[in-house]
Amino acid sequence: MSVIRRNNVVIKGKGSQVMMFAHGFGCDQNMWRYVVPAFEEDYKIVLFDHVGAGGSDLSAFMPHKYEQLEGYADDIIEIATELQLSDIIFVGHSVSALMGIIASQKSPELFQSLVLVAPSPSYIDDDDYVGGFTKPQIEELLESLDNNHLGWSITMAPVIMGNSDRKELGDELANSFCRTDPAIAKHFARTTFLSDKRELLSCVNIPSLILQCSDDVIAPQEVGEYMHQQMPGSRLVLMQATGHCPNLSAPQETIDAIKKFLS
Amino acid sequence: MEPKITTGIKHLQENFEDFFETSLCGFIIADIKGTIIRANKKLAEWVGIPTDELKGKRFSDLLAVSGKIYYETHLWPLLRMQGFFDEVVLELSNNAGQKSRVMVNALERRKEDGQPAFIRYTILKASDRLQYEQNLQQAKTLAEKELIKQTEIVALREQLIAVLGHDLRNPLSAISMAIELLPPLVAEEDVALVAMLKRSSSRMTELVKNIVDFARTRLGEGIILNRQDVVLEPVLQQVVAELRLIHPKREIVTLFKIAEPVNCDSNRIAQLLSNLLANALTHGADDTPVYIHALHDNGNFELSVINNGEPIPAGLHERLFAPFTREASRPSQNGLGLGLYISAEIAKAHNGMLSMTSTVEETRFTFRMSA
Repeated sequence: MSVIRRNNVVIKGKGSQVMMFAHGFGCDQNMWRYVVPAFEEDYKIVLFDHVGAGGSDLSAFMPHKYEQLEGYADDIIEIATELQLSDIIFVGHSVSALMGIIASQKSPELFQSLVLVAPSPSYIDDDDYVGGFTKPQIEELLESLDNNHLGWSITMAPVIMGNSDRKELGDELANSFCRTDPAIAKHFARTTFLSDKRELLSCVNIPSLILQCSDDVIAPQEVGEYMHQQMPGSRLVLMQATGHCPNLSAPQETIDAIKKFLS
Repeated sequence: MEPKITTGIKHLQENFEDFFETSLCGFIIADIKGTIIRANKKLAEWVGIPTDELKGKRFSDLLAVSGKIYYETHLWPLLRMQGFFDEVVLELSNNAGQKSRVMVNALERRKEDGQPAFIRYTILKASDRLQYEQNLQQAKTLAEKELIKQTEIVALREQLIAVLGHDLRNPLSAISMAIELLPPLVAEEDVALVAMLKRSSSRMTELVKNIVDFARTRLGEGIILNRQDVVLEPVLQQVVAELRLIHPKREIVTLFKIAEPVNCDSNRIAQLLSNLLANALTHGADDTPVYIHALHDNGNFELSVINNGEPIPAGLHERLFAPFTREASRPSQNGLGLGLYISAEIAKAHNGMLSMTSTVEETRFTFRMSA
């Protein structure tokens, strides 16, 4: 199967230097929509969806492969190889930032630099390390996903409303943004929130930018500071943007920070 | 939790301030960063935090951990991209750590230039509804399990019937053949016993035939016909003769008007008559005759079996042609209750119909088909 089809790869932009954007857990490539236009003039933009998200090929989902972030990182390398990309500026949000770190260590020849947006190497507190969540909290998350306590109602909507004569309601709810297969989302959550890649940080030897948000419950400030301290040659920017998705909440601030790093 | 409708105001008049604060649902207004600017009293009551202290928090601060993550990674992006999310189930966590499930709608209010201005959240209690949904889900799961179990039982039973019917045929035909060979070997005084053996074995053959046919129709094969133009009267007479052997004391009156050959499966028509006649002889009054009328006229073939005696109870009419229907009031005299079912199937296979009328005067079964 074509890697391009599998990961719903979209290529745009007028430049030759490659910027590859990777979305995080819970969303799809649409989340870069307010950031990407600012780079289209000068860069070749590569967007894609992780398998299980957005317009990816759901049939390509293999539970075993995607049990580890390495499985997702391999997809990134495959896309780059297939498109014969090199000197990639990799922009990864949240868990995808870590996938970028893994990919850049597996295939260093492909990557030029890393832009890590709201990254975290490990979500669970461990001795002195502050991850933001306690072990029981993450267990609660995974359990509630298993029991479907949270409605996941957006992704479920078309099924529930399938026979309704007000079908447009279902379509509207589950429109083209952030579609996620519920079973795969559950699996992805496990892979994401149980991952611990702290030991990889000190091996990063290409330039990197860490964009740390204010008031981010998923990746608190301590995490950004920890990463900066562990990664040689990294640059840390504390953003005004709050929450976990500065690319959506504060696109201009995000664009400015990335441009400054690249100049 | 009753909405507090007494506010201390002497003459309460509807106004938007009061509507916002003392509402049936929680309201939150947040700035574009998602920071709460104002929350109403109802919400404050649910989360156990005064409205003043809710100011400055993020909406996700009010949620239990799984909801926090779901909100920050999925709902917030959705809100920013499409401007709203609807009917999302989340768990509020109050200051004592107790969780309550709510349904949340959110809308991003945008300015004329499309830039976001502020965000509105509406929060509705949903515990009962979700409990109800969960119960429905459980009931559905149980029903599905039960259905699978029952389907398996039915399939097994029908298979058993098919195998049983099939396997009984060979030993039974051996018995029947042996009975044919008996007469020269038995003493004069035992001839009556041989006649009894013969009657019983032929009755058993009919029953087994019905079982095999039943199994075929249930397993989807249906009644397979071998239709030919046949002179039907001798075929019907043969059936009558066989049953006279079994019921020597009963009077059977036949009236046949079948001048032309009839296009049908003669074995099946014989089986149909045999079933109807056996029923009439069993259930009809002993001291009255059973009438058989057969008429072939103008492309229609009609075969009726009529008996007197107790009418068929009205309660039985509806399922008379269903398999295993027997008179509940007395012990079965007619085997499995498959006879009428098979007869109706034979009628159907001929594109015909088997019908019944039953009154105190007479009980009449009529088979009609175009031929």
